[in-house]
Amino acid sequence: MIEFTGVSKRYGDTVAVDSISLRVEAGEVCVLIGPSGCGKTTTLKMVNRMLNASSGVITIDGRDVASLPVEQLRRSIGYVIQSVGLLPHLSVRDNIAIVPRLNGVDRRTRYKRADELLDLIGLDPAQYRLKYPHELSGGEAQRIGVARALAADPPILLMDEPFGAVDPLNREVLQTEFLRLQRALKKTVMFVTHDLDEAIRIADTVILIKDGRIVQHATPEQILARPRDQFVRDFVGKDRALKRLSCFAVRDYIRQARQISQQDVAAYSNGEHDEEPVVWVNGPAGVLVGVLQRITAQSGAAALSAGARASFRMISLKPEDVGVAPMSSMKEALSRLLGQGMRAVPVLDERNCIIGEVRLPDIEELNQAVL
Amino acid sequence: MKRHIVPPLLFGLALVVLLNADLLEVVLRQLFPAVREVMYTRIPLIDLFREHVVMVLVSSAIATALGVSLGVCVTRPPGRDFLTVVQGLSSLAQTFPPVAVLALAVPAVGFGFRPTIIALVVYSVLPILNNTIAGMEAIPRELTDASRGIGMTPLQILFFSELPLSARVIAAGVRTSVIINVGTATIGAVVGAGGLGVVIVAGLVRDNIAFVVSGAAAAAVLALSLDWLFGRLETLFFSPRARVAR
Repeated sequence: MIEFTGVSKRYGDTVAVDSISLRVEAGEVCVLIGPSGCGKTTTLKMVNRMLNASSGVITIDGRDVASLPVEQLRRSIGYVIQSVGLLPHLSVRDNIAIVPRLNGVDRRTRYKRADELLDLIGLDPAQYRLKYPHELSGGEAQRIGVARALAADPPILLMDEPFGAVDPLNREVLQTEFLRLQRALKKTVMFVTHDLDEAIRIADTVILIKDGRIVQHATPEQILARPRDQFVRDFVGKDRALKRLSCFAVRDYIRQARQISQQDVAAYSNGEHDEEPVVWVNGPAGVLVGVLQRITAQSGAAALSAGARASFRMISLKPEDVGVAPMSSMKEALSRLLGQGMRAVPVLDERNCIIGEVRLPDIEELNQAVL
Repeated sequence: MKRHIVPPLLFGLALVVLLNADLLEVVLRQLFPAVREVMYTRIPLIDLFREHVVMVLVSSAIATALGVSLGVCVTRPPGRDFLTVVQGLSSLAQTFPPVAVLALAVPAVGFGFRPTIIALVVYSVLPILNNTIAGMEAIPRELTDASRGIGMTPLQILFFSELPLSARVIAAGVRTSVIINVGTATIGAVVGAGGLGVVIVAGLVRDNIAFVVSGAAAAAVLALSLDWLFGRLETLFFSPRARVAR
């Protein structure tokens, strides 16, 4: 647990951080966000005393950081920065194991730990341990940076725009990777970014900072639903209702889906049906192949008015184009809904079989919380 | 691979000829048929060569220790105020003729080896100092920040990141100053420090071109082979595997 009590940082007459008090619970990912120069990085750097607070107290698990020897403090805190800062003359494994080396851990144990960490971050130790930093891509270097921060198994991680210099595609991969690691390791993380989408994706709580003061400290969902003032409203943007949907996972909103197998389409089409539910059609092995659509146009309308039975036809669908996974966000579900022009999207398992569906009214209801 | 065998063979051959009195006499007689006495007989050339090498090694070692530690000191936060002063002083030292330094040093420490070493150190510290400063200043700020952030002490930052990162530039400075010293060390002869300068000076005094050429050639071969050795060491230590790439 990290706790700030009335912490300020002044440079002469300018105040970079103005009497901030906050608390990051153990195992929580707390994202500091705000416009450039708002003091978010300064706030972060005071935790491992890269900068010293001008006044106020910062404690880690109740111990004042100012009371600890500074090198010992830093070795007990993982630190990841945008420029990574790998030492170019050391191999990947020596870079990862540098903090254990400073702590006097013997070579064999260090290298074993480096291999474990390479495994953990999803890079093959045999392939990477002897590489040098200049042989790595930006994304790989950044992962090695995270591995280095984790090498001494510190309970706390400080991350200063770690994925800021990586291209958007790789950034998303790194974020997913980070979430996977965090679920397994449960570190207490302070994370600085200026990317709102990144904050929404990875944060348990978000602290929005402006001019060295905390404007709002809440979950991402709350910040998007109830921005405290006009500044927050402007910062999160006009599409906050849409962004907020990223905070919800499809798995919590799955409804039972009506589904029939492909052979039964003709029989169903001739039956009596009052309401117009979405009926999914399964092919061989239960894989989604299409959806039934009521024939209403021209001839269809004429047939209806003449009292004839309703008839349906099947529209073929590609599961990967329409379906969402249980782990997907509701934003993705909505996007699929809009893209397909349907009132529900199928939720599919890895084999493209239907688990259930997400319905438009549920999404609408979710957004009623937005003020 | 073959390319690397040619220079040492050539230098080796040259040294064998220069340092073996019988062979040298044959060669010098061929080159200077008009000179009656081609061999400097008072001290064998090989002894002068050895004295010369010792002078160069001692002075370069001192200059390296001095240059690197001064360079490190003035790039630390407390020493930064002295950066321009030290740079100015070492530039000044190089504009000072070594002979003048020698003249000033002799009254203080007497004749012989010591004043020569002082003159050589004063004259050759500049390239090492300048390269140490340049190497330290070229290290990206983020890298030292990262080193600090993971919990290195200032001393660990120096030895784990700053010195290894600037080693290549510093080594280039040492190479330059060693080569300068090989040439400059010949002035040691005028204050009785020995070295290859003895033959050269004797040749100048007695108007004997064979003496001058044998001393100068030995110094030149020494300088060339040391330069080649440094080049080999550089490729061995700094490339291509451990190349510092940015």
